[in-house]
Amino acid sequence: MLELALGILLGGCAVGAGLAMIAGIGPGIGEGNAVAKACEAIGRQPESKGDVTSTMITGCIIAETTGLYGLVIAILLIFVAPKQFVNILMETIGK
Amino acid sequence: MNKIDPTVRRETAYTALWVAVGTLLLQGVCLIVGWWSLPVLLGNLLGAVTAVANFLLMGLTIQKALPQDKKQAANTIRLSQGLRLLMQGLILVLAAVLPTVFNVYATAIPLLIPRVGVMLRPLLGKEDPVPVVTPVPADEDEDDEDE
Repeated sequence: MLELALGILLGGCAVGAGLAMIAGIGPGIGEGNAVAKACEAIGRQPESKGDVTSTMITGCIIAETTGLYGLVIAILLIFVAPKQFVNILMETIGK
Repeated sequence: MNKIDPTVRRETAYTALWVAVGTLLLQGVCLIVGWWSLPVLLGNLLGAVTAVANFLLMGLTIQKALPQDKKQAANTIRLSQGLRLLMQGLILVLAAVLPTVFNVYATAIPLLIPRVGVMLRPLLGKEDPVPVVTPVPADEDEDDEDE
């Protein structure tokens, strides 16, 4: 029974980490689209290059942090959470 | 090596400043609460350097992508974003597998500070865009003169 509980716990952590990494796909697509539109805008108005670049960098960093949240959660779920969950499980069984 | 665009340089300096302030704040909080240790300091420094490097690489990629055509620029950015995410993932894995050297939480927090800086920007001050002098193609000059 304990083995089953540990298996479910570790499997849940791994599946959760995988699901969290789905968040890494979106920012790449979004940033790509933003830069493509910025290329278009600069092509139309070359004098606005500085403004467009500045705004786009700001937008890109905000989009990118969304992916980073997912990455951080995934790393924590793989490397940090299992030990703590196992400790909680052991304490619960001990009681 | 290509010259760094003034906009990219300015934004990177702004982000580096925010990351430095955030790192110092974090160290201060850890000292006050009593969580401070060498792994926290080292993890914080590793995270701060990674955050600034990530921002600089993003700016350089954008600088490289802007003169390209739409499709190529989008692909360049997507590739760069994937590689940068991989770089940050590897740094976090390094911090996680070496808990005696780096604290994983202290490594992860500075990676998120640039967003805080960007979000607080409208509250703290005005935008002062760098004047960019764009060379006007010779043909257009001639056209204007003709008109």
